[in-house]
Amino acid sequence: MTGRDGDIRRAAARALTSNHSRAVAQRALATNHSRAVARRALSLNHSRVVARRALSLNHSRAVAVAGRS
Amino acid sequence: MANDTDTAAGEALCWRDQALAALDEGNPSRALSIAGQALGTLEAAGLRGGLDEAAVLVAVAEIEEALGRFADAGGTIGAAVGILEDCAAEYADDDSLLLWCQAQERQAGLERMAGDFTGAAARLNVVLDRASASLGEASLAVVSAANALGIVYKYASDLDAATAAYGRAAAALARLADPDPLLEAGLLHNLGGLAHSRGDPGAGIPLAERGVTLRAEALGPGHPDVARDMNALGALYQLAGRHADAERSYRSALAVFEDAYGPDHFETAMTLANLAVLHSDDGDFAQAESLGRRCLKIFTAVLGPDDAEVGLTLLNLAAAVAGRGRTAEAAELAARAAAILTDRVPPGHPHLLAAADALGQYSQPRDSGQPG
Repeated sequence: MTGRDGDIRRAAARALTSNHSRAVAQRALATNHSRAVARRALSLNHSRVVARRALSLNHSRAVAVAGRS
Repeated sequence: MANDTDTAAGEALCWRDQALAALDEGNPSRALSIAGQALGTLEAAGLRGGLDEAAVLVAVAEIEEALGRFADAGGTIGAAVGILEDCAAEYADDDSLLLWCQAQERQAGLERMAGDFTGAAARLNVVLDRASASLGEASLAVVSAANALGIVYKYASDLDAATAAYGRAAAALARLADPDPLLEAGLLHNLGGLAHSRGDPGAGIPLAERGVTLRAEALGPGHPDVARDMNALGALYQLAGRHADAERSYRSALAVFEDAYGPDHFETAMTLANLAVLHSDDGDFAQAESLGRRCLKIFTAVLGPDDAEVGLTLLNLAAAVAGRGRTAEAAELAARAAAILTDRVPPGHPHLLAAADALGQYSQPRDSGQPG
């Protein structure tokens, strides 16, 4: 169980076992902001908020030697 | 309502993914346009200020960086971090933590570019602590943040600390199940760059060549990330005295960058800057000056007049101008370089020492005032 499938199953398990998601859903009734939170509580079985990205790269700059002429 | 918002959020994240795909294909302008649709979708659904907007903003910041719009990227990533900090109590899952790590890492990259090495390193160490504790040392978040920390230390010229950070990234990468070859390619690129900073092209060239091979196999030879690899490999060849190989590498990178990003882009200027120094090394000071002035103009426009890259470009330009016999002008350029670098890099940094050395040499009373 690796990669996205694993993430999905773990997330689903969390949704089933945690009181957290119910508390979040209750907050959703109050404010617009909480609607996004409620969506997360209802759709924890996807991990799409995180896009897989490449590593940052450094740059190698050449330095001229003074007085080479 | 929940279904509507869920659909809208899913649609926005689809736009985000398409935007990043366009970025990965080397088309950041199109990527930014698509990302705008993602934000518009969230706005229309009343989903601003939550995790989904933060996810889109992290992508927008990456795209803005790719476009060379660093000030915009700073504002965007600041907004993403603000949302994530505000929502930290509500979002306690691994996805949210990963997104927070990505946002913090991008903000640290911008701090590093601004010369705030201490702040960037501190931020990344917090990321590493949280990522390692919550996701495990053998996690992509640790690989990515440790790699970013290595870059910070490399630019600060704390090369032993950079070696340790890259070593941590490599160790975490080795423990990942089925790692993406592009991760190894990125790390090889950076280890090659570290060897360049140490003045050890013999150690760096095999690493950089292996990185180029891996990335070209995965992305094709005309991809901008392969061009980044080729520019870095060219610098190693140049350091090793393999000037023909260096010029071939630089020109290969330049063709890709000019095609993908245009003639006035940051990456184009980075390649022109190295090509200019190669011409100086070959004694072609006229061409070195011409290329040096071109990339100076780009860096000044993209990064601002007081950026460290501008300082180093002025220093290299001074060598070309001195090579043409205009020593007093070279001294002025070296003095400007030293002033900028003093504010932008730590004391004892090699570029700062080189600027002081150049200023001393060009300030000697031997100016003929005649072009060479």
